[in-house]
Amino acid sequence: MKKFRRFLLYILVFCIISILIFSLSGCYSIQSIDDLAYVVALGIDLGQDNNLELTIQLTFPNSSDSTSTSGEAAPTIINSVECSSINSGISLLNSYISKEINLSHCKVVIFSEAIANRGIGSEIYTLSNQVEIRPDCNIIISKSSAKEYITNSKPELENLVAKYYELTPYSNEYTGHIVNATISSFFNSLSANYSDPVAILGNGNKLNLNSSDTSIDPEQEFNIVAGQNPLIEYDRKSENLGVAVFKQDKLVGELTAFESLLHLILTNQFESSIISINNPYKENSSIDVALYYHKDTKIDARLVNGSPYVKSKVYLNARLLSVDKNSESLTPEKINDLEVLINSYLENAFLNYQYKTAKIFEADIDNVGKNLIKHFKNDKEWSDYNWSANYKNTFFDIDVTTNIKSSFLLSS
Amino acid sequence: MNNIKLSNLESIGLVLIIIINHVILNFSKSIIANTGSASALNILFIGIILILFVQLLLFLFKHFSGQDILDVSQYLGGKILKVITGFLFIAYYIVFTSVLLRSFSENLKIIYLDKLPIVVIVIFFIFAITFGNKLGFKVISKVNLLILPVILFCIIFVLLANIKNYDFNGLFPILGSGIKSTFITGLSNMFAFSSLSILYFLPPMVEDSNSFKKIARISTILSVILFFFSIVSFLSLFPFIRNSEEIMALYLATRYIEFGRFFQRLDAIFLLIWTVAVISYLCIATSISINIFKKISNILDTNGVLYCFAGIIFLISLIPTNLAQLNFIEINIFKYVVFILLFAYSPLVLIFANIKKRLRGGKNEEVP
Repeated sequence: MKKFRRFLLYILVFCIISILIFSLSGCYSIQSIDDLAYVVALGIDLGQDNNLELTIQLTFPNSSDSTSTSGEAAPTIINSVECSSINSGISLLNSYISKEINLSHCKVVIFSEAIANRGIGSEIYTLSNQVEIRPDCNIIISKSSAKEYITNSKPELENLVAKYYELTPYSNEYTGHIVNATISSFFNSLSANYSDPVAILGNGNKLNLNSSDTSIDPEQEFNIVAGQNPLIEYDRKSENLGVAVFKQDKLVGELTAFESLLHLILTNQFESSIISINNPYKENSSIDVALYYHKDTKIDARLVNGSPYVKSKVYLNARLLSVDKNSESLTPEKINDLEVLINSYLENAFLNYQYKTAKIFEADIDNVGKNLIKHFKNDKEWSDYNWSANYKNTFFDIDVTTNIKSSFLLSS
Repeated sequence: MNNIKLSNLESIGLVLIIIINHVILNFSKSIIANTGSASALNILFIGIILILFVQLLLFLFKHFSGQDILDVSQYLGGKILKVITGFLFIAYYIVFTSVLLRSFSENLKIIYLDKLPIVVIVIFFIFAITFGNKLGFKVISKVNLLILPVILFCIIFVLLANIKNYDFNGLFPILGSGIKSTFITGLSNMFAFSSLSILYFLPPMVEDSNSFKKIARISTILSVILFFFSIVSFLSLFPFIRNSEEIMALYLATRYIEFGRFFQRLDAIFLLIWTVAVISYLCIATSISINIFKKISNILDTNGVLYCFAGIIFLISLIPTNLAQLNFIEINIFKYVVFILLFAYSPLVLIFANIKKRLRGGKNEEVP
């Protein structure tokens, strides 16, 4: 009898808990995937009277189902609204569309150059404060308007625009021409007092196509930014190329595709890329070299006579891509000569790049301050030193060590 | 509680689960806010002091083998001091259990349960506390020991999975806000080790004094190591942690975890496991409070007390109106209460009890 009563008690408690959980937890109003409108790209432009123009690109939850024809891009919807802030814009858009806007699958946030020049600090803090937005969401600064960028972003090799946005920044792994700038990396640099943020440089309205009759200097071939891409046949107008440089939250300049590669090497994000250098053995020809990560770049920053002095040591592996039937054998002497040539070429490029960031942009995007801060005893000393204002006085030195391993299938 | 005997592992588990909860509930943030980039150095310094403090406790408990702080208080000041000490510890456990419960519930609400009323989230934990305590302290400590490896693994996994995002320059300037804040005012960071309060109640529950020594030393060292690595990880991972008011840093760290392009968004599973850790902690704290009450009031049936305490925890947890109030209680009140109760009042009781014992004729005197 006692056992039975205890059993009844357990049943009673179970029922009470079940009733409480299901009645109070709002399960009846739970949201399913069909009730939400998933934003894949968020565009922020400068509207009238210093307002924001918020553009969202929505995708259908069932747009990747098996019924869609292979090769047919899934449809998306683009909506814009003039608003005072990101959240008020989303709230306004929510009142116009039938589903609730959800940012948990937002892959990119695009800011126009105009708003980036004004400063995007408050927008970045707002986005970082959002639970729905993932820290790996990319940040693109578009030379055209953000709306134009989104409108002209038409995936060619993927059915899903979300996949296109997700994969595009990863091209830095094999080109080095952009950075994989995310909200978290931008926010971290913005909130730290020893570094400045960068973002992907994009363009939504192709500016000009270089005609093929002008001769191309191989060493300058990658000194281009988004909007200057020399593609001849290309339907999609939006593109990413180069890096947008910020001084705190304000856009102060842009780096070319080649400078982006140098930035990646100095910040240990580099994996592989291809560079072209003038062939010292043959006039009017170039040598293509595939560069690979070898070891982390070591940056030694210290104060010399009150001025910051930065010595960087870069370690790279390389393989030669250019061979022809006239190529001489890759003798140790020749490899050594080529290594010296590549090292010297890269050292010059690095110094030009570093002085550009210091003297022209005055933005520590390579985290030099992080390496200098260890020479200061406490926060007060560091804040009194005012690194942000002193970065422009930095002297740079660089030592590049490239090891040419071989060419590829044809070694000579 | 005097009849309950815990194994060494179960006892260490009790201390560790509280420390783990302090890591989950962002006590690291309070430490970093206090000592900045010098927090890792500060924890090492505090760790040394804590080990010395635990040595002192072991020495003071040496003449009171198998007795807890309540027995010692009774020996020193009779029933009155025992009741005072008991109520101080009950108030400490109940109030701060409530605050931590509310804090975790608020975090859950922000992250996943934004449409759920806070009262429902709190009720869920209150039910868990009640049912856990109905099963008894021994069961709680055994279940705690069962889940502890999983929780520990998850925390270590989160810290290690982010290793590619670490930048150890975040530990500089090495002295943070200065020598004074690191080594003098930074001593207030000892509040993070309030888990050591359990040591005051462990002696009757362990096999012998040697076991107690082992448990105290091992759990202190493990607590210091766990806190040290979590502080180093957060400083290396989040440059903004020094000057922003973020919610659970450990949760933010889980959002950074990704293995290639496929394994991403692992945070939900960790939050589920931490919920289990919080429930275990709440059960332990409530169980200790009930047993203290049982000991000072000599009641036999603790069921009524359990429902009362569960109700009190529920009500207190609903008092703060926002997270700012919770942070204020955690940083400005909890810190000093822990310092006074655990690192001043209780050692003083032990010291005076030892003096009294020596004056009355030494080690072998019977304790009433």
